[in-house]
Amino acid sequence: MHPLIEKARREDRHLLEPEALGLLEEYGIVVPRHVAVHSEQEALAAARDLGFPVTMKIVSRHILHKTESGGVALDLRDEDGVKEAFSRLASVGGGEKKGDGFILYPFQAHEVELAMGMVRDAQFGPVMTFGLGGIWIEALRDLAYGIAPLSPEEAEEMLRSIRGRSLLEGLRGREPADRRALCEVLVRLSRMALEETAIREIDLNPVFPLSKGCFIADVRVVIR
Amino acid sequence: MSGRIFDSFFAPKGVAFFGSIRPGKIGYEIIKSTKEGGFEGRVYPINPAGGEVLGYPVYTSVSGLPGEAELAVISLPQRAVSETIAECGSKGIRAAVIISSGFSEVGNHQAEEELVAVAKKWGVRIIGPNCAGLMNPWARHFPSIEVRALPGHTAFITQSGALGGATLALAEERGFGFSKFVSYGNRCDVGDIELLSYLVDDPETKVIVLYVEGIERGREFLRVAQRVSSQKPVVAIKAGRTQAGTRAASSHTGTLAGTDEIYDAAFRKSGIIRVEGVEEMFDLCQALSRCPLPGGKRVVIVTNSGGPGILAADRAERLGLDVAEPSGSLKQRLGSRLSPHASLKNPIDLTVESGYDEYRAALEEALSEYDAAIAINVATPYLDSRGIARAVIDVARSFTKPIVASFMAGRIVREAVSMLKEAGVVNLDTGERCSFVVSKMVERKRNLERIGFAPLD
Repeated sequence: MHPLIEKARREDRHLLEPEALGLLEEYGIVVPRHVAVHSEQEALAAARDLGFPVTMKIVSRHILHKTESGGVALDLRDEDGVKEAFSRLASVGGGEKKGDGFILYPFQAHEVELAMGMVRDAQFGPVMTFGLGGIWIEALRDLAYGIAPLSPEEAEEMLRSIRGRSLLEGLRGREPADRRALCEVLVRLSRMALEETAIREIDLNPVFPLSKGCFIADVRVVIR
Repeated sequence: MSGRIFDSFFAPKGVAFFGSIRPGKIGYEIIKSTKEGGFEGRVYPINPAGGEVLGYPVYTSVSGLPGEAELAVISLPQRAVSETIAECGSKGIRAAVIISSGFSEVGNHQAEEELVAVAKKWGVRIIGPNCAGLMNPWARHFPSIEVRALPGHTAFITQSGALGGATLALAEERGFGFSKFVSYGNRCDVGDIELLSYLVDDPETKVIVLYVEGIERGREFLRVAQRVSSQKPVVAIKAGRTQAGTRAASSHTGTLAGTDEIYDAAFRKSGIIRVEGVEEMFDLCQALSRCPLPGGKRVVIVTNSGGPGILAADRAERLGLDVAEPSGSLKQRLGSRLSPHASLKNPIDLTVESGYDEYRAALEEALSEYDAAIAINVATPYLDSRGIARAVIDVARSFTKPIVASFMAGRIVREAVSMLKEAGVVNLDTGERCSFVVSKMVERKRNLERIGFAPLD
């Protein structure tokens, strides 16, 4: 078992976002640059280092869905913005349910939100999912499924089989999404799901498709 | 399990029948079916009452048999089953079909565990309990109470005995035959995985059908099914299409993955073709056991009447087939051989008074360009459909591409339809059903070509 997962299990919690990103990286998945911080000073330094604008999120073992809890501050354009967001996010994670710090990413503009993930089925093992993400996931339920391990061809078939597939194809003169990068994430994620059997669910949501690569804007790894 | 044990199940030289020998009782009916089916092996009814049943002497115990029995067929009350398995085991019987109910299906898990333990101890393999039995029509072996299957090339494995029985009754009506029939009921021992492995090498079986409500040992099932389906088509009818989002999950994607979508993905992974029900299964299995597979998804519809052809085309398109118009050069060739009234689009409408020459010309020319053909004949009572049937048969024989026919309807096409059937051409009631079958044959072809797919661990 991966030491990060072992530690989380010992502490009876799921992976924290910086840990989850680290795990994805170990499986060769390209994740955004990010810095984990614990103080306002560190947050300001990280923001300067990453370059404005940035996104800051709370890291907490008690919060699985950050947006719903008010734990996300998007598009912070200067130091005042970071300071203001820091005090707001700190109050979300305050009290008894002490937070585990904060994480900063470069802010990424986007139009399309995707989701990729895994649920472990009692019979068939890791089932990989791909589809429209963000709020569309509940609204449209436009998801494709595939049994791990996935080959790049199987991943590509999943990309092709959602109803919203044309969103990846560069509508109205926009640049098409980097399909190979998306497939690569799915393939590597399926490998990770097979090897790390203590993971119950993985949820990369949202993922922004870009003309080169893709941007994993949030990740949850649920341990069983 | 070695193939040897399956020979004991499907082609035993002697069978011991444990159960009632009173007419109307299940035990008696199984022996009757065995006799009427023309079983040529040794038949040993066993009952403490002794005497005679249906012309066979009844033995009072398995120890007194004059010859070897390889298979036991048991329809005794539940409480007597385990003991009987032990007796059989001690006499060297290694295979048992247990029809008897009263086990895990009614919550009596203890009885089933005991049965499994006894069977393991004596090295007896079990199909059942709580099942409808099995059949091998090619060996005239019918240890079952269901309608006896005609010999054919489809193996049918069913979790539900009742569904199995109804399917056999429907199949008899249609003259649809089976290579093997197995109802495994509670699946306490032999299940889908071993049966698939056996049937892939069974020479009579060209297509394997599974009716499943739930799959056990999922990863192993997929691995075996992936191997088997690379050699023979495997078709599944899966009951329970709903239950989306019933599991407790913490993430968005987790909550949204329904059982049914997961089964779809699992079937796709292992190359299994899913159908909705028994009707679709009959249609598809006929085609898979008789027709060559299409090389691609371009389908031509040849008809003598507008409506039914358009319905077929609509369905074909919805199912992802390519119903493109003929190319310019094909139109030219068709034009030179067909009446000027014919419509040279897709469907190609030959108009009502077309016969052998027109159908032959249209199908022949079109198949040089398309991957598959659907031949529709909406018969007129005063015209003879046999010529059209001959044309379809002749073209089907000269191409390694599939042609599926729909001759409509009833009495006026009866003779033509039996000609088609005799020649091995699949004829379905409607063009829409032809489209469905062609779309699934395309899926089968695609499955076979999926070399790039990641194998299961």
